[in-house]
Amino acid sequence: MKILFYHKDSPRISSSYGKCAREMWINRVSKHPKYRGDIAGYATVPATMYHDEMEGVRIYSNGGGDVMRGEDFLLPNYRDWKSDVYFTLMDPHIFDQTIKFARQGLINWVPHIPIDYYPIPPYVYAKLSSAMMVVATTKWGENILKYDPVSKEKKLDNVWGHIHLGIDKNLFKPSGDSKADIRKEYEGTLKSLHAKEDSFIITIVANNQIRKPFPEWLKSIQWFRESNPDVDVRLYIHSQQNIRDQWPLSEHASFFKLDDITRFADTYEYGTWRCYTDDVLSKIYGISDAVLIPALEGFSMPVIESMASGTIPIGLDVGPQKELMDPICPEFLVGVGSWVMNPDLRGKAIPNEKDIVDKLNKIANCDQDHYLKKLSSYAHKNFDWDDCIMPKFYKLLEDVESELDRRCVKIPEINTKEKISILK
Amino acid sequence: MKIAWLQDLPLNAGIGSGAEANDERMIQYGRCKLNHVIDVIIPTNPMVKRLDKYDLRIVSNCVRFNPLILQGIPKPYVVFHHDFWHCKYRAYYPKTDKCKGCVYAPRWKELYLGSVLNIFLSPLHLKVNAFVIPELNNHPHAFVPSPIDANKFKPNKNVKIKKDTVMGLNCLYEFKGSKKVIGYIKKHKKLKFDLYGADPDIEIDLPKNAEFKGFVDNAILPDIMQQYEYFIHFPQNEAFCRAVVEFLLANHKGKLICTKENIGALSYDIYTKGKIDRNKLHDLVSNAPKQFWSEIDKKLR
Repeated sequence: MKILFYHKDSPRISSSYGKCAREMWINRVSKHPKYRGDIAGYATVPATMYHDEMEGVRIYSNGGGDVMRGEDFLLPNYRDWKSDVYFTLMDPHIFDQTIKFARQGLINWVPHIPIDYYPIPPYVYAKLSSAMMVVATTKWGENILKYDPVSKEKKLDNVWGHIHLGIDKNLFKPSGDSKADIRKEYEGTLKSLHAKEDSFIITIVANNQIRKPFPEWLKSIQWFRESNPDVDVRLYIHSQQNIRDQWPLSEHASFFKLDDITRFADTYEYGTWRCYTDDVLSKIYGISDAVLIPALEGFSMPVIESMASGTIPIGLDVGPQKELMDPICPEFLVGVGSWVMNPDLRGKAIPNEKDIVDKLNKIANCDQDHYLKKLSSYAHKNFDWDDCIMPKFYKLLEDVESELDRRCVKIPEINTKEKISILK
Repeated sequence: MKIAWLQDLPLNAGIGSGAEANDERMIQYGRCKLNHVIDVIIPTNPMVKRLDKYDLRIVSNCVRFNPLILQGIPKPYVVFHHDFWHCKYRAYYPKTDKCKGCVYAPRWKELYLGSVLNIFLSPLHLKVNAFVIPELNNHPHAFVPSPIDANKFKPNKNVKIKKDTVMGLNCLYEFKGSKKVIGYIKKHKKLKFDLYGADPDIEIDLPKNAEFKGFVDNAILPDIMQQYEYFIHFPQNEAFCRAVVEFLLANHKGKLICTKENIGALSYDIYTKGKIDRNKLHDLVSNAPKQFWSEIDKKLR
């Protein structure tokens, strides 16, 4: 089975999309004896005119054109690789040409999709009906793809199930038995954040996008800081400060009177690729007291990464973050303050700021070491790429192969048993 | 009667194959002998959206049409089967176990069973379709062979048959049984095989007793066919198979080396005392256009 995979970001980038492309396809599927040599990628961010290769896996260029969807060169790449199937990890509502090609039977499309809105607008269901199989990143996503609770209607019948995204348990793990030990071990990291051993470090790991509720998060931290004047609060935002058309985060930090305690990943490249590797990120998680990311996310890798590193995440009591945290630390889920509807009917949840302050207070006053092992062993047991995620992913690949066979993607073997006769 | 004839390819474009040749003969007969007004409608014709303006619709090869057009086709309509549309690989690969749960069949099943009549090219043609869609056995159907100009394909007593020679036509295509043909050639070294037809575009290592002769014009085909003692043909499944019938008509002494149960034409009752009766075969294909329209007429009456 020849596979072309497409993740929104290149596997060289440490965004969730890029990271998954690297961990799933480059590091694992392409090295699996059954699939070796049959995997190729298609990168969109960064846009490039040139073909690339990563650990022997070909990465097709997107021609430097449509960087958001990567659809301009989909068909030539799909055909060049003689692909049987096209896997994507990307928001489904963005796709346009992909849907057309899938409907025409030119590609066999398997979208692995993060759903970061609620409810799902009708046009997204319509687009996804063109896929051969739909795979959600969460059980929550799977459920609303199959059944729309708003219209109370059955929806897609091509949903395979869900596959979570994962972590490498050898990388994201606590380096000591207590927070104090970890901070001692990662003293350099602590200093780089201008924090002391007794500082209360809040970390936000989220790309700077307008859809993420940065103002609500920062406002909550301001309130928490003001209500705890004796606590040395430090904030690290693992994101770029200012991106065109996104939040002017440094101005926001200043507006919420947090600029004196805030550090950023200096540029997008630093935040996601060149400098801050997962190794560095795991240290930052390790020394943090709280990882603050309550939002309606498509999956929310920082939640499982912080848990694996032994740090308490603060998530949203709706959608994927609830699914990930509910079984182990529901006490740190934040309620929804309000719902905002995008013009294209994709609803976004805004977290309740006061609830965030409550959770921060709770963490400041709890025995964090109690959570350290509990959270990391839970995350390792449920989200490790090798132990938990990939077995399910290989099962998906097997099912895709059966479906391709059912659809006769390859010419069935010719029956040559018929008797030869000579007729006069 | 005003008739819409739905067809993937324009009939006079010279890009079609047997199916278009069949259609052309049927349409010619309908127009000239029966005075029907027949519009050939290809997928890009704007009249695809005005099919209700016709008294009857004949759905011929239609895989390139928008499925919605076929779903909403006004009644009455007749389905004129050529290959096996529901099969992704058309005529060549049905009859595997998974065909019974074919993912492509439901869309076509609806079309077939909504028609007033399904016209198949042979009893085998129905049998293979019904393997996937068993309901077809009980739905109104008729068998109409491919029309062949029997006056063109007739024996010539002056031509001497070359002994131990075998002719093949397009048999190097995989779906026409190329592997089996090559195996047969290797086993029968005393026979000399001349293989005609279009280039199959793949590397085939022909045994020494075989020669690839390439494409020949249809006009000289009867003269070539008359020279051979045998004609070899091992298709996977062929709804009718004009080439076999043309050989039998052009060469009364010629013999067929074939997989009989895969050739639609040989599934008709054309045998007398175990031998193929050329007269029966002649009548069968000569009357095809007339029979085609009379079957439709019977159903609509």
